Amino acid sequence: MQLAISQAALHLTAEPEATCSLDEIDALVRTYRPRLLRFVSFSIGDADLAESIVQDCFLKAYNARDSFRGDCSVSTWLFGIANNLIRDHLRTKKFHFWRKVRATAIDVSEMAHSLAGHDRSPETMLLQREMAVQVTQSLESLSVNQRRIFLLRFSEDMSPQEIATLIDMPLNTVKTHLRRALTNVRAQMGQTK
Amino acid sequence: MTKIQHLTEDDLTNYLIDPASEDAATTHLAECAACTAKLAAFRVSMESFSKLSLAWSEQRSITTPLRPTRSRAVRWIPNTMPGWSAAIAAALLLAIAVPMDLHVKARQSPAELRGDAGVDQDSEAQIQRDNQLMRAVSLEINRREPSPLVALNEPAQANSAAKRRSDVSSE
Repeated sequence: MQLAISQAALHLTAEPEATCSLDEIDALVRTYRPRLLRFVSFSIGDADLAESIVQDCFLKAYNARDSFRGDCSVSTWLFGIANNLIRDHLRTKKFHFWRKVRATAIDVSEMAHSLAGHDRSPETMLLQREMAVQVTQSLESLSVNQRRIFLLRFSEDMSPQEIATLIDMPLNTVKTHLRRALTNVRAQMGQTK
Repeated sequence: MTKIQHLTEDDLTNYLIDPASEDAATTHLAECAACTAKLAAFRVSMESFSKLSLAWSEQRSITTPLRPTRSRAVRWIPNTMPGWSAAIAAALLLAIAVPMDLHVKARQSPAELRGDAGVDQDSEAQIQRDNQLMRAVSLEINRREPSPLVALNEPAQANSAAKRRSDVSSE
């Protein structure tokens, strides 16, 4: 069963990066918003606040489009802006206050039913959902820093070096965060002895 | 027969973090099905999570519209244009528009300016209509209506008359 899923999962790799001009804000939003929203939502664990951060991210990107030199991909550039916005939000007391008072946590069961699978068997779908829910729940035990680094590595498929450059952190610190996060997630999912 | 030395949890973790820097682990994984299965279990879980979370995120992106107000403002007033230059532009626009408006009005006839161009003021029917209107207005003005103060004055008048009568009788 796992091998069958493994084969299916090979086709689920990230879509080829669409190229679009930075002047075309609509195209930019259409192309990158889902991935950015996923990254921010699961990093901070608040879907509504994530919406707001992603809006700000696109606004900042549009206003600063002239400063984009093209020495990294548009995707990396946008993730860098989103990451800075997350960091800024984490620093504010307002964030901590609202997090306690009214955090609109991501609905795991809603997420688990987001996928319409016409080409997969109900068993495969069920197993995929269970695994996704397990990962989501295990992410909750990580710190925000560990979570965003973990997501950049294993959801966005960035190398540790790319992450270090993106979030302006020493490579060894990134690896330490990844090691702790990975050990924790695997243990929670029952994949370690 | 030698016993296979499987990868430790730390080895697997390091391999997942950066496969390129783990040559020994790469060699071992090419031969060991058990360690490969462990690695695959984590990768499959992450693939499932990535796919479902992206589908969830796409659904949210479709159902939640963007707030376009601020980006539209960028197009109307570019960042390079400071506030005072916008004020000067507005003042210049007024300086041009007001004299032009006065010039156009000066060229118009008095009837056009009154807005009654095309209506014959001295026609018989118009005079009749005007007279009717004047009569109606005059009737409305001269209509006798009871003063609202009457009701208030009457009890006072009645009281004073009664007092006068009582004074006369006592004398």
